[in-house]
Amino acid sequence: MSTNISTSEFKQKLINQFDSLNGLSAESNRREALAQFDSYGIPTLKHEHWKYTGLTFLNKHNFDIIKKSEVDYSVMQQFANHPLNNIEAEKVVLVNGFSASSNLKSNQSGVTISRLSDFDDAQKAQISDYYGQSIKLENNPFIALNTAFAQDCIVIKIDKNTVVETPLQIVYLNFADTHAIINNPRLLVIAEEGSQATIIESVHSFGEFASLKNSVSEYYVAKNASLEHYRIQDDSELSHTIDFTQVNQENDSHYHNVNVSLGGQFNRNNIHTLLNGENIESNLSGVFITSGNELFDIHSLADHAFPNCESNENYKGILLGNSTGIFNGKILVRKDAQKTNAYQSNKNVLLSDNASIFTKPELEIYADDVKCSHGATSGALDEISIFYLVSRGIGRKKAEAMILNAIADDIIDLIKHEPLRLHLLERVENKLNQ
Amino acid sequence: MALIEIKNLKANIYGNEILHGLNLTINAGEIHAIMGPNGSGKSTLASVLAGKEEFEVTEGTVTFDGIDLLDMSPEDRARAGVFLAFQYPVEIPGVSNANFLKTAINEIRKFRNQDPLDAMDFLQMMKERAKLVEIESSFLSRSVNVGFSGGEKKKNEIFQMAMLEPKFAVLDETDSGLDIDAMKVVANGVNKLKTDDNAFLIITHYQRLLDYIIPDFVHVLSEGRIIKSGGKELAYELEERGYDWVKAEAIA
Ligand SMILES: Nc1ncnc2c1ncn2[C@@H]1O[C@H](COP(=O)(O)OP(=O)(O)O)[C@@H](O)[C@H]1O
Ligand SMILES: [Mg+2]
Repeated sequence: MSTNISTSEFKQKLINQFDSLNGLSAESNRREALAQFDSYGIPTLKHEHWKYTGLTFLNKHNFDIIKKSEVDYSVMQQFANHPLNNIEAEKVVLVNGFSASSNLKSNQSGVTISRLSDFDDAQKAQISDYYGQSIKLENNPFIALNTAFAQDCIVIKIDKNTVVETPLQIVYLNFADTHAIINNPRLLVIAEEGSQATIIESVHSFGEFASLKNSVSEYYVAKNASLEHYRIQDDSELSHTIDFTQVNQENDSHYHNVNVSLGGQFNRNNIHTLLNGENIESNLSGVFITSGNELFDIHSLADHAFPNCESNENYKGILLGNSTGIFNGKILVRKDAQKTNAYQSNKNVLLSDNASIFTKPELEIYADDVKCSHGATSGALDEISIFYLVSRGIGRKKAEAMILNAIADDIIDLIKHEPLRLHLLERVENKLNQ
Repeated sequence: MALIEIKNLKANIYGNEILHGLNLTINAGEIHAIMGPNGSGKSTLASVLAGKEEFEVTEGTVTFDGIDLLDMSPEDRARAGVFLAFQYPVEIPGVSNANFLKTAINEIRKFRNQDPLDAMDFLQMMKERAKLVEIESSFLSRSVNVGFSGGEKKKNEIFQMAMLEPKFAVLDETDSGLDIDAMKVVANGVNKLKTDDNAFLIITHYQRLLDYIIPDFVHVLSEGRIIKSGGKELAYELEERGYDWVKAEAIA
């Protein structure tokens, strides 16, 4: 079942699968991506952005890249009773990155959901300014891997001035029932000028084998548009994710990302925002709870390119067992981005001596009239607070859970979609009271 | 029968002995006051009674309601009816006063084999007791002590006491830093809660509070021991003459 393979063998194995796949991107683009992946290789702890994020799981499971033709959509039934299938939202269910149906029509006017593989040349031309345009293959081996092997992409377009009432939920089902698989989902979201929407992404793994979701998502938030974006992962020990999300924002737009991660063996999240205009508000927040040998990693970048914008980052971690948390938050303020306000906060509670957290803020500031701040705290639970609760008759375990709940709820309360918020509040409470 | 009986209590923190053999007996229906210079061990005594783990008891006994208090976990002490109004109440962001107290009351009720209080009764009780200490109901939905003024924090301690209805309450310098109006509210709270079945131990620096809460006994704590006990008039004498004469008397 689990045979160890060397990193170079693994890399070669992936490269060998290249020709047998019907890729999505143009052949030349795919070849370039493959070459980039080949030249960078699988990152090791020596690579700057992977210093604390060991990828040894790649050697442990005999991963293969899944082909579109192999996808077994029967797993959708297993998801049917999942609580996250029952919150109010318009759902797009993907199995290993693929949608069973080409008929992805939204019931809401002004919203189009489609598969890029169904596009004709004219439709492809319409998205050519967007698809793959916000990301860089160079020095991003997993974006390169995704680009070389992606076989489909979900495209969501929200028309100008459309206010989308019901949130759109993209459900990523990883299904590895016969062997370990890597899937390479792609997502393209275009929120046109003045539109408003909520997008939920959730990740769920099924099957007896390990899966790796290596996804690339591009979000374009046009002038005056407002996007709420929630990413939920409450997954199993067979679940591995390497997510790359790039958000490009234009003048007067608003973007808010809330990342709630309650389970998953390996969860690397890259979230990059480009504030490509003035008067932009860009907020990233998240909470993770890890236990066992789980690893959660957030690598964020707030890239301020124009004046008069504000970015906020607020991440919290609760770590149990032997788990590891990594927070690397970079704020880049370019020369022209005067009057930038950029704030960052990272707070972690370690509930075990064997849990570790690595937190690193990076400020790179080239403008002189800016307000930037960052703060990070990591430590055990505050005994003085615990004693205060205990001295009122509350049992120690419950007192701990109350304080931890308050930390997590502070982030979860940012979720505006009530059914999702209530589900997560309850889920976290149950998890912390276990 | 004594409600609480402290015998030859010795306690240290990080190996440093603070209480050097303290004796004190309090009966139900009584109010006792402890006065004493800074650093004499007043808060240490309060912490030891509440069960704060950093303090190590090396000798002596504390019997509460006939049972060995020192053998109980801090939460069980609270459930059995011991309450400490902290000298420095703690802020707990994200935990509302209401949720905090509801959890506490229901844990206490569970300990006593009672059904949980239903939401309506709890709300009613909260509103009633909030009035007693003159705090606004909007406080109840706010995080515990977060953004409260010094006086509000102290009132909140008395409010919690009113909600939990302890048998034995220790008030550690609840009056410090309070203006006269807030102090009257605190005193009024204690006087209303006092019955023949419960008892209070009031730790204070100032005789002032004892004009409003009339103690049955006043004790002087110095260097970890009670060196003098008397009636309420002792508080006036201490206010006038300080502590040195008591110490001198104790040595003599
Ligand atoms: N947490 C602590 N760590 C170390 N020493 C302490 C601690 N708490 C109290 N002490 C020491 O114990 C002694 C008594 O303190 P305390 O009981 O707070 O006095 P009081 O309340 O009478 O002013 C002091 O010398 C103080 O320094
Ligand atoms: Mg004190």
